[in-house]
Amino acid sequence: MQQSVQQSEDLKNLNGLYYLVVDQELKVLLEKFAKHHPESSKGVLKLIIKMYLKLVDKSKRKGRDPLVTFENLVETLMTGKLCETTRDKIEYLDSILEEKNAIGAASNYVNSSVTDDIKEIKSLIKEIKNSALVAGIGTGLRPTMDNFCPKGPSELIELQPTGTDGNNNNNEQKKRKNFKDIRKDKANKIVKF
Amino acid sequence: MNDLTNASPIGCELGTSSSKFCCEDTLVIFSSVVGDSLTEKMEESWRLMNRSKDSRWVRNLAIFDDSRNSWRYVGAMTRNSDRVNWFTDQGLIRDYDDAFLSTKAGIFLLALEMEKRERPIKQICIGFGITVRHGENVIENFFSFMKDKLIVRDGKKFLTIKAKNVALNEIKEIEVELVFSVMQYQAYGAYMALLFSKYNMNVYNTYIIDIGHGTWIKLPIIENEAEINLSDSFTAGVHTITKNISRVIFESSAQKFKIPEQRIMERLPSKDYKLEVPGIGVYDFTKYLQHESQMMAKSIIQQISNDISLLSQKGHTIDYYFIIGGGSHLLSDTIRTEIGKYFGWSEDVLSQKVIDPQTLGVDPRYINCVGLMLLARDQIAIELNKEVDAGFAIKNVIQDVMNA
Repeated sequence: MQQSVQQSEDLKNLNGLYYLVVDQELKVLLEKFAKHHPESSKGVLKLIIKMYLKLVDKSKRKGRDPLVTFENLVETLMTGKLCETTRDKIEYLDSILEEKNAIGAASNYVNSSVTDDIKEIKSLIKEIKNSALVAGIGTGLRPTMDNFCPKGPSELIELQPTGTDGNNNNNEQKKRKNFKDIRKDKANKIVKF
Repeated sequence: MNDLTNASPIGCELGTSSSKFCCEDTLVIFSSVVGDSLTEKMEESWRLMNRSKDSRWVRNLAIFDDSRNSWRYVGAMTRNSDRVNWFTDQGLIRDYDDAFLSTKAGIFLLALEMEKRERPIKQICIGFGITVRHGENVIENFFSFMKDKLIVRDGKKFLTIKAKNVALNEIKEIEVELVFSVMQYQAYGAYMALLFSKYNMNVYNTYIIDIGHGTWIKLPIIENEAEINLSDSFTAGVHTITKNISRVIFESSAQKFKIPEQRIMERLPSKDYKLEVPGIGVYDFTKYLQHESQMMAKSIIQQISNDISLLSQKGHTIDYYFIIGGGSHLLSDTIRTEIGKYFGWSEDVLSQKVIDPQTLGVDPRYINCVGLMLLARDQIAIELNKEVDAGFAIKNVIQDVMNA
Protein backbone atom coordinates (compact mmCIF):
# COMPACT_ATOMS: atom_id res chain seq x y z
CA MET A 1 0.00 0.00 0.00
CA GLN A 2 2.76 2.35 1.04
CA GLN A 3 4.65 1.45 -2.13
CA SER A 4 1.70 2.28 -4.36
CA VAL A 5 1.28 5.66 -2.63
CA GLN A 6 4.98 6.31 -3.25
CA GLN A 7 4.65 5.32 -6.91
CA SER A 8 1.64 7.56 -7.33
CA GLU A 9 3.57 10.42 -5.73
CA ASP A 10 6.51 9.80 -8.06
CA LEU A 11 4.23 9.75 -11.09
CA LYS A 12 2.64 12.99 -9.97
CA ASN A 13 6.04 14.60 -9.63
CA LEU A 14 7.21 13.39 -13.00
CA ASN A 15 4.00 14.04 -14.90
CA GLY A 16 4.83 17.57 -16.00
CA LEU A 17 8.41 16.62 -16.65
CA TYR A 18 7.61 13.71 -18.93
CA TYR A 19 4.87 15.58 -20.69
CA LEU A 20 7.22 18.34 -21.75
CA VAL A 21 9.91 15.92 -22.80
CA VAL A 22 7.53 13.91 -24.94
CA ASP A 23 5.10 16.66 -25.87
CA GLN A 24 4.26 16.22 -29.53
CA GLU A 25 4.67 19.89 -30.35
CA LEU A 26 7.96 20.06 -28.59
CA LYS A 27 9.01 16.96 -30.45
CA VAL A 28 8.17 18.69 -33.73
CA LEU A 29 10.10 21.73 -32.61
CA LEU A 30 13.11 19.60 -31.78
CA GLU A 31 12.81 17.74 -35.06
CA LYS A 32 12.80 21.04 -36.89
CA PHE A 33 15.85 22.06 -34.99
CA ALA A 34 17.46 18.85 -36.13
CA LYS A 35 16.44 19.50 -39.70
CA HIS A 36 17.98 22.95 -39.79
CA HIS A 37 21.06 22.01 -37.85
CA PRO A 38 21.84 18.58 -39.31
CA GLU A 39 25.52 18.93 -38.42
CA SER A 40 24.74 18.50 -34.76
CA SER A 41 21.16 17.33 -34.76
CA LYS A 42 21.14 14.13 -32.77
CA GLY A 43 23.77 15.09 -30.28
CA VAL A 44 22.25 18.49 -29.67
CA LEU A 45 18.77 17.07 -29.20
CA LYS A 46 20.05 14.61 -26.67
CA LEU A 47 21.95 17.41 -24.97
CA ILE A 48 18.87 19.61 -24.83
CA ILE A 49 16.76 16.92 -23.24
CA LYS A 50 19.46 15.81 -20.83
CA MET A 51 20.13 19.36 -19.81
CA TYR A 52 16.44 19.98 -19.39
CA LEU A 53 16.17 17.10 -16.97
CA LYS A 54 19.04 18.52 -14.98
CA LEU A 55 17.55 21.98 -15.14
CA VAL A 56 14.28 20.78 -13.68
CA ASP A 57 16.10 19.63 -10.57
CA LYS A 58 18.18 22.73 -10.36
CA SER A 59 15.20 25.02 -10.90
CA LYS A 60 13.17 23.21 -8.29
CA ARG A 61 15.92 23.73 -5.77
CA LYS A 62 16.21 27.39 -6.57
CA GLY A 63 12.44 27.89 -6.82
CA ARG A 64 12.59 28.95 -10.45
CA ASP A 65 10.27 27.98 -13.23
CA PRO A 66 11.94 25.12 -15.13
CA LEU A 67 9.96 26.02 -18.22
CA VAL A 68 11.51 29.48 -18.43
CA THR A 69 14.90 27.98 -17.74
CA PHE A 70 14.37 25.45 -20.49
CA GLU A 71 13.21 28.09 -22.93
CA ASN A 72 16.35 30.03 -22.15
CA LEU A 73 18.39 26.96 -22.87
CA VAL A 74 16.76 26.32 -26.23
CA GLU A 75 17.13 29.98 -27.00
CA THR A 76 20.80 29.97 -26.09
CA LEU A 77 21.46 26.93 -28.23
CA MET A 78 19.57 28.29 -31.21
CA THR A 79 20.53 31.93 -31.08
CA GLY A 80 23.51 32.21 -28.86
CA LYS A 81 21.69 34.92 -26.93
CA LEU A 82 20.55 34.38 -23.37
CA CYS A 83 17.23 35.96 -22.53
CA GLU A 84 16.45 36.46 -18.87
CA THR A 85 12.68 36.54 -19.19
CA THR A 86 10.03 35.38 -21.60
CA ARG A 87 9.42 39.01 -22.51
CA ASP A 88 13.10 39.42 -23.49
CA LYS A 89 12.79 36.31 -25.58
CA ILE A 90 9.70 37.42 -27.48
CA GLU A 91 11.26 40.80 -28.12
CA TYR A 92 14.41 39.18 -29.31
CA LEU A 93 12.52 36.90 -31.68
CA ASP A 94 10.58 39.92 -32.92
CA SER A 95 13.81 41.74 -33.64
CA ILE A 96 15.13 38.73 -35.60
CA LEU A 97 11.90 38.57 -37.53
CA GLU A 98 12.09 42.25 -38.40
CA GLU A 99 15.71 41.94 -39.37
CA LYS A 100 14.99 38.96 -41.60
CA ASN A 101 12.05 40.72 -43.23
CA ALA A 102 14.14 43.82 -43.83
CA ILE A 103 16.89 41.77 -45.43
CA GLY A 104 14.33 39.86 -47.44
CA ALA A 105 12.71 43.04 -48.67
CA ALA A 106 16.03 44.64 -49.55
CA SER A 107 17.34 41.67 -51.41
CA ASN A 108 13.97 40.64 -52.70
CA TYR A 109 14.68 37.30 -51.09
CA VAL A 110 12.61 35.95 -48.24
CA ASN A 111 13.85 32.96 -46.35
CA SER A 112 10.38 31.72 -45.67
CA SER A 113 11.59 28.55 -43.98
CA VAL A 114 13.55 30.42 -41.28
CA THR A 115 10.77 32.96 -40.80
CA ASP A 116 8.18 30.23 -40.45
CA ASP A 117 10.35 28.39 -37.95
CA ILE A 118 10.82 31.49 -35.85
CA LYS A 119 7.09 32.15 -35.90
CA GLU A 120 6.40 28.60 -34.94
CA ILE A 121 8.89 28.63 -32.09
CA LYS A 122 7.44 31.89 -30.90
CA SER A 123 3.90 30.56 -30.89
CA LEU A 124 4.98 27.30 -29.29
CA ILE A 125 6.72 29.12 -26.49
CA LYS A 126 3.63 31.26 -25.95
CA GLU A 127 1.40 28.22 -25.99
CA ILE A 128 3.48 26.28 -23.53
CA LYS A 129 3.78 29.31 -21.30
CA ASN A 130 0.03 29.91 -21.43
CA SER A 131 -0.71 26.27 -20.62
CA ALA A 132 1.54 26.49 -17.60
CA LEU A 133 -0.13 29.71 -16.49
CA VAL A 134 -3.61 28.26 -16.92
CA ALA A 135 -2.66 25.32 -14.76
CA GLY A 136 -1.70 27.72 -11.99
CA ILE A 137 -4.81 29.94 -12.15
CA GLY A 138 -7.34 29.49 -9.41
CA THR A 139 -5.18 27.08 -7.52
CA GLY A 140 -3.14 29.71 -5.79
CA LEU A 141 -0.07 27.85 -6.92
CA ARG A 142 2.82 29.29 -8.84
CA PRO A 143 2.67 28.44 -12.52
CA THR A 144 5.55 26.02 -12.51
CA MET A 145 5.96 22.75 -14.31
CA ASP A 146 4.80 20.99 -11.15
CA ASN A 147 1.33 22.34 -11.86
CA PHE A 148 1.53 21.89 -15.60
CA CYS A 149 -0.64 18.85 -16.17
CA PRO A 150 -1.86 18.86 -19.78
CA LYS A 151 -4.11 16.14 -21.10
CA GLY A 152 -3.54 14.17 -24.23
CA PRO A 153 -1.39 11.33 -25.44
CA SER A 154 2.25 11.30 -24.60
CA GLU A 155 4.98 9.03 -25.72
CA LEU A 156 7.85 8.05 -23.49
CA ILE A 157 11.22 8.69 -25.00
CA GLU A 158 14.03 6.58 -23.61
CA LEU A 159 15.34 8.90 -20.99
CA GLN A 160 16.20 8.63 -17.36
CA PRO A 161 15.90 11.45 -14.90
CA THR A 162 19.04 12.46 -13.02
CA GLY A 163 20.55 10.29 -10.30
CA THR A 164 17.83 11.38 -7.86
CA ASP A 165 15.74 8.39 -8.89
CA GLY A 166 17.70 6.31 -6.47
CA ASN A 167 19.06 3.90 -9.05
CA ASN A 168 22.05 5.89 -10.13
CA ASN A 169 21.32 4.69 -13.65
CA ASN A 170 22.73 7.88 -15.06
CA ASN A 171 26.25 6.71 -14.40
CA GLU A 172 25.66 3.30 -15.93
CA GLN A 173 23.98 4.61 -19.05
CA LYS A 174 26.47 7.30 -19.93
CA LYS A 175 29.18 6.07 -22.23
CA ARG A 176 32.28 6.40 -20.09
CA LYS A 177 35.74 7.20 -21.28
CA ASN A 178 38.24 4.64 -20.14
CA PHE A 179 41.40 5.85 -18.46
CA LYS A 180 43.45 3.25 -20.34
CA ASP A 181 42.44 4.85 -23.63
CA ILE A 182 43.19 8.43 -22.64
CA ARG A 183 46.13 8.11 -20.25
CA LYS A 184 48.69 8.75 -23.00
CA ASP A 185 46.78 11.60 -24.61
CA LYS A 186 47.70 14.23 -22.06
CA ALA A 187 51.13 14.08 -20.57
CA ASN A 188 51.55 14.58 -16.86
CA LYS A 189 53.90 17.23 -15.61
CA ILE A 190 57.20 15.40 -15.19
CA VAL A 191 60.49 16.56 -13.75
CA LYS A 192 63.39 14.36 -14.79
CA PHE A 193 66.21 14.15 -12.31
CA MET B 1 64.95 7.49 -20.41
CA ASN B 2 66.65 4.93 -18.18
CA ASP B 3 65.55 1.32 -18.11
CA LEU B 4 62.63 1.33 -15.70
CA THR B 5 62.00 -2.41 -15.56
CA ASN B 6 62.88 -2.52 -11.86
CA ALA B 7 61.83 0.99 -10.91
CA SER B 8 59.79 1.41 -7.73
CA PRO B 9 56.93 3.91 -7.81
CA ILE B 10 56.78 6.06 -4.68
CA GLY B 11 53.90 8.31 -3.60
CA CYS B 12 54.92 11.42 -1.70
CA GLU B 13 52.75 13.95 0.07
CA LEU B 14 54.23 16.64 2.32
CA GLY B 15 51.17 17.66 4.33
CA THR B 16 50.77 20.50 6.82
CA SER B 17 50.79 18.18 9.81
CA SER B 18 52.21 14.94 8.45
CA SER B 19 54.29 13.69 5.55
CA LYS B 20 53.33 10.44 3.86
CA PHE B 21 55.34 8.14 1.63
CA CYS B 22 54.03 5.01 -0.04
CA CYS B 23 55.62 2.12 -1.93
CA GLU B 24 53.66 -0.97 -2.96
CA ASP B 25 51.84 -2.17 0.18
CA THR B 26 53.85 -0.09 2.65
CA LEU B 27 53.15 3.40 3.90
CA VAL B 28 55.23 5.65 6.14
CA ILE B 29 53.75 8.60 8.06
CA PHE B 30 55.59 11.05 10.25
CA SER B 31 55.06 14.61 11.44
CA SER B 32 56.10 17.33 8.98
CA VAL B 33 58.62 18.72 11.38
CA VAL B 34 62.41 18.87 11.45
CA GLY B 35 64.48 20.10 14.39
CA ASP B 36 67.95 20.70 15.73
CA SER B 37 69.78 17.70 17.10
CA LEU B 38 71.30 17.38 20.53
CA THR B 39 75.05 17.51 20.89
CA GLU B 40 76.82 14.17 20.84
CA LYS B 41 77.29 14.24 24.61
CA MET B 42 73.68 15.18 25.21
CA GLU B 43 72.54 12.44 22.88
CA GLU B 44 74.63 9.92 24.78
CA SER B 45 73.15 11.16 28.02
CA TRP B 46 69.62 10.95 26.56
CA ARG B 47 70.22 7.34 25.51
CA LEU B 48 71.22 6.47 29.08
CA MET B 49 68.12 8.11 30.50
CA ASN B 50 65.68 7.07 27.78
CA ARG B 51 63.18 4.59 29.24
CA SER B 52 61.12 4.19 26.06
CA LYS B 53 60.87 0.70 24.62
CA ASP B 54 60.07 2.13 21.20
CA SER B 55 63.40 2.14 19.41
CA ARG B 56 61.98 2.04 15.88
CA TRP B 57 63.73 4.10 13.22
CA VAL B 58 60.63 6.13 12.46
CA ARG B 59 60.38 7.30 16.08
CA ASN B 60 64.08 8.02 16.62
CA LEU B 61 65.22 9.28 13.25
CA ALA B 62 67.96 11.76 12.43
CA ILE B 63 69.05 12.57 8.88
CA PHE B 64 72.45 14.03 8.11
CA ASP B 65 72.15 17.48 6.56
CA ASP B 66 75.09 17.97 4.18
CA SER B 67 74.47 21.70 3.82
CA ARG B 68 74.63 22.27 7.57
CA ASN B 69 77.13 19.45 8.09
CA SER B 70 75.11 18.25 11.07
CA TRP B 71 72.34 15.87 12.04
CA ARG B 72 68.71 17.01 12.01
CA TYR B 73 65.92 15.22 13.83
CA VAL B 74 62.83 14.33 11.80
CA GLY B 75 59.25 13.68 12.94
CA ALA B 76 58.74 12.35 16.46
CA MET B 77 62.44 12.63 17.32
CA THR B 78 62.06 16.43 17.32
CA ARG B 79 60.59 15.98 20.82
CA ASN B 80 64.20 16.42 21.88
CA SER B 81 64.95 19.44 19.70
CA ASP B 82 65.43 22.91 21.08
CA ARG B 83 64.17 24.49 17.90
CA VAL B 84 61.72 22.84 15.53
CA ASN B 85 60.65 23.82 12.05
CA TRP B 86 57.30 22.79 10.56
CA PHE B 87 58.46 23.03 6.98
CA THR B 88 54.98 23.29 5.46
CA ASP B 89 52.47 25.95 6.27
CA GLN B 90 48.92 25.90 4.94
CA GLY B 91 50.07 23.06 2.72
CA LEU B 92 52.89 25.07 1.18
CA ILE B 93 56.55 24.13 1.43
CA ARG B 94 58.22 26.96 3.35
CA ASP B 95 61.69 25.56 3.80
CA TYR B 96 63.34 23.64 0.94
CA ASP B 97 66.23 22.38 3.13
CA ASP B 98 63.96 20.75 5.68
CA ALA B 99 61.41 19.56 3.10
CA PHE B 100 64.31 17.88 1.29
CA LEU B 101 65.45 16.25 4.54
CA SER B 102 61.93 15.04 5.12
CA THR B 103 61.81 13.57 1.60
CA LYS B 104 65.09 11.82 2.32
CA ALA B 105 63.65 10.50 5.59
CA GLY B 106 60.56 9.15 3.84
CA ILE B 107 62.57 7.40 1.13
CA PHE B 108 64.98 6.01 3.72
CA LEU B 109 62.21 4.60 5.93
CA LEU B 110 60.49 3.03 2.92
CA ALA B 111 63.76 1.55 1.69
CA LEU B 112 64.36 0.11 5.16
CA GLU B 113 60.92 -1.53 5.26
CA MET B 114 61.18 -2.87 1.71
CA GLU B 115 64.63 -4.27 2.49
CA LYS B 116 63.11 -6.21 5.40
CA ARG B 117 60.60 -7.70 2.98
CA GLU B 118 63.40 -8.57 0.55
CA ARG B 119 62.13 -6.15 -2.07
CA PRO B 120 64.88 -3.51 -1.91
CA ILE B 121 64.39 -0.14 -3.53
CA LYS B 122 67.19 0.74 -5.93
CA GLN B 123 65.60 2.98 -8.51
CA ILE B 124 62.64 5.23 -7.79
CA CYS B 125 60.07 7.30 -9.66
CA ILE B 126 58.08 9.69 -7.49
CA GLY B 127 54.44 10.68 -7.71
CA PHE B 128 54.56 14.02 -5.93
CA GLY B 129 51.50 15.82 -4.58
CA ILE B 130 51.40 19.58 -4.89
CA THR B 131 48.91 21.94 -3.34
CA VAL B 132 46.53 24.00 -5.40
CA ARG B 133 48.23 27.22 -4.36
CA HIS B 134 51.77 26.09 -5.04
CA GLY B 135 51.80 26.32 -8.78
CA GLU B 136 54.17 24.25 -10.84
CA ASN B 137 57.03 26.74 -10.71
CA VAL B 138 57.45 26.56 -6.96
CA ILE B 139 57.64 22.78 -7.08
CA GLU B 140 59.98 22.88 -10.06
CA ASN B 141 62.23 25.12 -7.97
CA PHE B 142 62.07 22.57 -5.18
CA PHE B 143 63.05 19.80 -7.56
CA SER B 144 65.85 21.94 -9.01
CA PHE B 145 67.04 22.36 -5.44
CA MET B 146 66.90 18.57 -5.04
CA LYS B 147 68.68 17.93 -8.33
CA ASP B 148 71.65 20.03 -7.17
CA LYS B 149 72.09 17.66 -4.24
CA LEU B 150 72.21 14.50 -6.34
CA ILE B 151 75.34 12.61 -7.32
CA VAL B 152 75.79 12.03 -11.06
CA ARG B 153 77.33 8.74 -12.13
CA ASP B 154 77.24 7.16 -15.60
CA GLY B 155 74.55 9.62 -16.61
CA LYS B 156 72.35 8.54 -13.70
CA LYS B 157 71.32 10.60 -10.68
CA PHE B 158 71.74 9.15 -7.22
CA LEU B 159 70.48 10.32 -3.86
CA THR B 160 72.62 9.44 -0.86
CA ILE B 161 70.86 9.27 2.48
CA LYS B 162 72.71 9.02 5.77
CA ALA B 163 70.39 8.26 8.66
CA LYS B 164 70.78 7.59 12.37
CA ASN B 165 68.59 5.78 14.85
CA VAL B 166 69.31 8.01 17.84
CA ALA B 167 67.89 5.56 20.38
CA LEU B 168 70.12 2.73 19.15
CA ASN B 169 73.01 4.97 18.05
CA GLU B 170 73.02 3.12 14.76
CA ILE B 171 73.94 4.78 11.46
CA LYS B 172 72.97 3.57 8.00
CA GLU B 173 73.71 4.98 4.60
CA ILE B 174 71.79 4.11 1.45
CA GLU B 175 71.87 5.22 -2.16
CA VAL B 176 68.96 5.19 -4.59
CA GLU B 177 68.68 6.26 -8.19
CA LEU B 178 66.10 8.96 -8.86
CA VAL B 179 64.61 8.92 -12.36
CA PHE B 180 61.64 11.27 -12.47
CA SER B 181 58.93 12.89 -10.45
CA VAL B 182 55.45 13.20 -11.85
CA MET B 183 53.40 15.97 -10.28
CA GLN B 184 49.73 16.31 -9.58
CA TYR B 185 47.51 18.03 -7.06
CA GLN B 186 47.54 16.16 -3.76
CA ALA B 187 43.80 15.42 -3.80
CA TYR B 188 44.13 14.05 -7.33
CA GLY B 189 45.77 11.08 -5.64
CA ALA B 190 42.44 10.13 -4.09
CA TYR B 191 40.88 10.26 -7.55
CA MET B 192 43.59 7.93 -8.89
CA ALA B 193 42.82 5.48 -6.08
CA LEU B 194 39.14 5.56 -7.06
CA LEU B 195 39.97 5.23 -10.74
CA PHE B 196 42.09 2.14 -10.10
CA SER B 197 39.52 0.47 -7.84
CA LYS B 198 35.86 1.51 -7.65
CA TYR B 199 35.76 3.16 -11.08
CA ASN B 200 37.37 0.18 -12.77
CA MET B 201 39.40 2.58 -14.94
CA ASN B 202 36.29 4.37 -16.18
CA VAL B 203 36.32 8.15 -15.93
CA TYR B 204 33.75 9.69 -13.57
CA ASN B 205 33.47 13.33 -12.61
CA THR B 206 34.46 13.46 -8.97
CA TYR B 207 34.46 16.17 -6.33
CA ILE B 208 37.18 15.66 -3.75
CA ILE B 209 36.93 17.33 -0.34
CA ASP B 210 40.19 16.89 1.56
CA ILE B 211 39.96 18.04 5.18
CA GLY B 212 43.36 18.19 6.76
CA HIS B 213 44.76 19.41 10.03
CA GLY B 214 45.21 23.04 9.15
CA THR B 215 43.61 23.34 5.72
CA TRP B 216 40.82 21.88 3.65
CA ILE B 217 40.97 21.53 -0.09
CA LYS B 218 38.32 21.27 -2.77
CA LEU B 219 39.22 19.70 -6.07
CA PRO B 220 36.57 18.96 -8.69
CA ILE B 221 37.83 16.56 -11.36
CA ILE B 222 35.99 16.77 -14.66
CA GLU B 223 36.73 14.38 -17.49
CA ASN B 224 39.86 13.16 -15.74
CA GLU B 225 41.28 16.65 -15.27
CA ALA B 226 41.38 18.90 -12.23
CA GLU B 227 39.06 21.86 -12.68
CA ILE B 228 41.71 24.34 -11.66
CA ASN B 229 39.44 27.39 -11.58
CA LEU B 230 37.29 25.82 -8.90
CA SER B 231 40.12 24.20 -6.95
CA ASP B 232 41.24 25.95 -3.82
CA SER B 233 42.59 25.44 -0.33
CA PHE B 234 41.29 27.17 2.77
CA THR B 235 42.96 27.84 6.09
CA ALA B 236 40.56 25.83 8.18
CA GLY B 237 40.67 22.26 9.33
CA VAL B 238 40.60 20.13 12.46
CA HIS B 239 42.95 22.65 14.05
CA THR B 240 40.30 25.38 13.67
CA ILE B 241 37.78 23.26 15.54
CA THR B 242 40.09 22.26 18.38
CA LYS B 243 41.38 25.82 18.72
CA ASN B 244 37.84 27.13 19.12
CA ILE B 245 36.95 24.46 21.67
CA SER B 246 40.10 25.26 23.63
CA ARG B 247 39.08 28.91 23.65
CA VAL B 248 35.56 28.11 24.85
CA ILE B 249 36.93 26.03 27.74
CA PHE B 250 39.31 28.86 28.61
CA GLU B 251 36.51 31.41 28.65
CA SER B 252 34.05 29.22 30.51
CA SER B 253 36.60 28.58 33.24
CA ALA B 254 36.83 32.34 33.79
CA GLN B 255 40.15 32.31 31.91
CA LYS B 256 41.77 30.11 34.51
CA PHE B 257 42.51 26.96 32.52
CA LYS B 258 43.80 26.69 29.03
CA ILE B 259 43.55 23.16 27.68
CA PRO B 260 46.11 22.64 24.90
CA GLU B 261 44.57 21.91 21.51
CA GLN B 262 46.71 18.80 21.31
CA ARG B 263 44.85 17.32 24.28
CA ILE B 264 41.53 17.92 22.57
CA MET B 265 42.82 16.52 19.31
CA GLU B 266 44.04 13.35 21.04
CA ARG B 267 40.49 12.59 22.17
CA LEU B 268 38.90 12.82 18.73
CA PRO B 269 39.90 9.49 17.14
CA SER B 270 38.62 7.54 20.17
CA LYS B 271 35.43 9.68 20.31
CA ASP B 272 36.15 10.38 23.96
CA TYR B 273 34.97 13.95 24.30
CA LYS B 274 35.62 14.43 28.01
CA LEU B 275 38.54 16.32 29.53
CA GLU B 276 39.56 16.82 33.09
CA VAL B 277 39.89 20.50 33.86
CA PRO B 278 41.90 21.04 37.07
CA GLY B 279 39.79 22.33 39.90
CA ILE B 280 36.57 22.18 37.91
CA GLY B 281 36.10 18.54 37.11
CA VAL B 282 35.35 16.66 33.93
CA TYR B 283 34.43 18.84 31.01
CA ASP B 284 32.33 17.29 28.23
CA PHE B 285 32.92 19.16 24.97
CA THR B 286 30.57 17.03 22.83
CA LYS B 287 28.15 19.93 22.38
CA TYR B 288 30.87 22.36 21.26
CA LEU B 289 32.42 19.80 18.98
CA GLN B 290 29.08 19.24 17.27
CA HIS B 291 28.53 22.96 16.94
CA GLU B 292 32.00 23.65 15.55
CA SER B 293 31.77 20.69 13.16
CA GLN B 294 28.38 21.88 11.97
CA MET B 295 29.70 25.41 11.36
CA MET B 296 32.67 24.19 9.38
CA ALA B 297 30.62 21.67 7.42
CA LYS B 298 28.23 24.47 6.46
CA SER B 299 31.04 26.68 5.21
CA ILE B 300 32.37 23.74 3.18
CA ILE B 301 28.96 22.93 1.72
CA GLN B 302 28.55 26.58 0.77
CA GLN B 303 31.68 26.35 -1.35
CA ILE B 304 30.55 23.05 -2.84
CA SER B 305 27.11 24.36 -3.79
CA ASN B 306 28.65 27.39 -5.49
CA ASP B 307 30.90 25.09 -7.49
CA ILE B 308 28.05 22.77 -8.46
CA SER B 309 26.14 25.76 -9.74
CA LEU B 310 29.13 26.98 -11.78
CA LEU B 311 29.81 23.51 -13.14
CA SER B 312 26.20 23.03 -14.21
CA GLN B 313 26.42 26.29 -16.15
CA LYS B 314 29.22 24.67 -18.11
CA GLY B 315 27.08 21.58 -18.63
CA HIS B 316 29.03 19.40 -16.18
CA THR B 317 27.68 17.26 -13.40
CA ILE B 318 29.45 15.50 -10.57
CA ASP B 319 29.04 11.75 -10.47
CA TYR B 320 30.63 11.16 -7.09
CA TYR B 321 31.71 13.05 -3.98
CA PHE B 322 34.64 11.88 -1.92
CA ILE B 323 35.46 13.21 1.55
CA ILE B 324 38.99 12.38 2.68
CA GLY B 325 41.80 13.61 4.93
CA GLY B 326 42.55 13.47 8.64
CA GLY B 327 39.49 15.58 9.43
CA SER B 328 37.08 13.46 7.46
CA HIS B 329 36.28 11.20 10.42
CA LEU B 330 35.06 14.28 12.23
CA LEU B 331 33.18 16.06 9.47
CA SER B 332 32.25 13.55 6.78
CA ASP B 333 28.88 12.60 8.33
CA THR B 334 27.82 16.22 8.64
CA ILE B 335 29.00 17.15 5.15
CA ARG B 336 27.39 14.05 3.71
CA THR B 337 24.07 14.98 5.33
CA GLU B 338 24.34 18.55 4.05
CA ILE B 339 25.05 17.32 0.51
CA GLY B 340 21.96 15.10 0.78
CA LYS B 341 19.86 18.04 1.94
CA TYR B 342 21.16 20.27 -0.82
CA PHE B 343 20.24 17.86 -3.60
CA GLY B 344 17.19 16.41 -1.88
CA TRP B 345 18.68 12.93 -2.14
CA SER B 346 17.34 9.93 -0.32
CA GLU B 347 19.70 7.87 1.83
CA ASP B 348 20.01 5.31 -0.99
CA VAL B 349 21.19 7.89 -3.50
CA LEU B 350 23.41 9.55 -0.93
CA SER B 351 25.20 6.31 -0.11
CA GLN B 352 25.92 5.82 -3.81
CA LYS B 353 26.94 9.37 -4.58
CA VAL B 354 29.10 10.09 -1.53
CA ILE B 355 31.78 7.44 -1.48
CA ASP B 356 32.83 6.03 1.86
CA PRO B 357 36.66 5.76 1.86
CA GLN B 358 36.44 2.66 4.06
CA THR B 359 34.92 0.74 1.12
CA LEU B 360 38.27 1.11 -0.66
CA GLY B 361 40.10 -0.39 2.27
CA VAL B 362 42.39 2.63 2.57
CA ASP B 363 42.42 5.12 5.43
CA PRO B 364 41.15 8.55 4.23
CA ARG B 365 44.21 10.13 5.88
CA TYR B 366 46.63 8.68 3.38
CA ILE B 367 44.58 7.78 0.35
CA ASN B 368 46.11 10.72 -1.56
CA CYS B 369 49.57 9.30 -1.07
CA VAL B 370 48.49 5.85 -2.26
CA GLY B 371 46.98 7.45 -5.36
CA LEU B 372 50.18 9.41 -6.03
CA MET B 373 52.07 6.12 -5.98
CA LEU B 374 49.57 4.81 -8.56
CA LEU B 375 50.23 7.92 -10.64
CA ALA B 376 53.96 7.14 -10.63
CA ARG B 377 53.22 3.49 -11.38
CA ASP B 378 51.09 4.50 -14.35
CA GLN B 379 53.82 6.81 -15.64
CA ILE B 380 56.36 4.00 -15.42
CA ALA B 381 53.97 1.75 -17.38
CA ILE B 382 53.55 4.46 -20.03
CA GLU B 383 57.35 4.77 -20.35
CA LEU B 384 57.60 0.99 -20.70
CA ASN B 385 54.64 0.99 -23.12
CA LYS B 386 52.81 -1.49 -20.91
CA GLU B 387 49.40 -1.78 -19.33
CA VAL B 388 49.36 -0.50 -15.77
CA ASP B 389 48.68 -2.86 -12.89
CA ALA B 390 45.59 -1.47 -11.16
CA GLY B 391 45.82 -3.48 -7.95
CA PHE B 392 46.76 -1.99 -4.60
CA ALA B 393 46.38 -2.82 -0.92
CA ILE B 394 48.10 -1.19 2.03
CA LYS B 395 49.24 -3.81 4.52
CA ASN B 396 51.98 -2.05 6.48
CA VAL B 397 51.60 1.40 7.97
CA ILE B 398 54.68 2.71 9.76
CA GLN B 399 54.11 5.83 11.81
CA ASP B 400 56.10 7.88 14.27
CA VAL B 401 53.39 7.90 16.92
CA MET B 402 52.28 4.75 18.69
CA ASN B 403 48.51 5.08 18.65
CA ALA B 404 47.73 7.58 15.95
